[in-house]
Amino acid sequence: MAEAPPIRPCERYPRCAPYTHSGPRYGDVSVDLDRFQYLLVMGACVAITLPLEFLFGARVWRRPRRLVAALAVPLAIFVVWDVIAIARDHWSFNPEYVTGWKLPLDLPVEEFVFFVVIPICGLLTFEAVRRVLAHHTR
Amino acid sequence: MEYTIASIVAVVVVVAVEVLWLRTGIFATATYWIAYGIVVFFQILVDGWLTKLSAPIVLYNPDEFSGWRVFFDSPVEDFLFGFALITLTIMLWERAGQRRGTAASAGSGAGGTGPTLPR
Repeated sequence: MAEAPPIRPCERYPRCAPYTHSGPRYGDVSVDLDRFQYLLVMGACVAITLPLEFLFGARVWRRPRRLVAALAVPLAIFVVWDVIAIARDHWSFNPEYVTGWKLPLDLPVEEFVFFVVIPICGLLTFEAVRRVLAHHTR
Repeated sequence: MEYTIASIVAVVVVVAVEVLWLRTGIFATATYWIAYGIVVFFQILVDGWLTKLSAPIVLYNPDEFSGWRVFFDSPVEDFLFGFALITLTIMLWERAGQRRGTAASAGSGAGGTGPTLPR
């Protein structure tokens, strides 16, 4: 019996080899991140609005019970809308840019995240504007 | 045109819930409208990233929306959808704040420019 040839590092990790193929290969960072593009956009929304909480004193994240009370009903309604819309082919998702992770009823996890993140961004904006206006009209 | 219809219905329902039921008063405040303007500006960017036809993340069935795309190829229906989502959330946020007694109501009520501080 011939022994299996040893795997050289550049076979295991193609990106270290400076050569010949064109197009993406396993291990290319861009390929891996593309699937997370939708989630990364949502993460950027959280990051960009965070200063509203801590620099503008919006106090949305720090009132978690009130936050849940505000989010729960819209989340339920819009998830149902989304599930129906997806089932009826109103819209669909580019498999290149989503993880493929699904919640029950074929709901992409990104959509669920959207219906949590985007309303929070709206509330942070609302509270920050309130604080700024209150400051300037005192 | 189902998305078109659904998005119009959503706006009408949310406005009706505010006017006829919750009556938080947000539509009478500068706070709400300024905030909503800011939200729309950022929606143009974020929704645009999701819908741009050069590399779309979300794909829309042309039979189910108006075909009218604005800014970065966002279906105009998305802005009705967004209005309903954000406005309903703010209404319920106000409702939850107003229910927490007079102190919270004075600070977080619909006055918008009311005596919010200090909290």
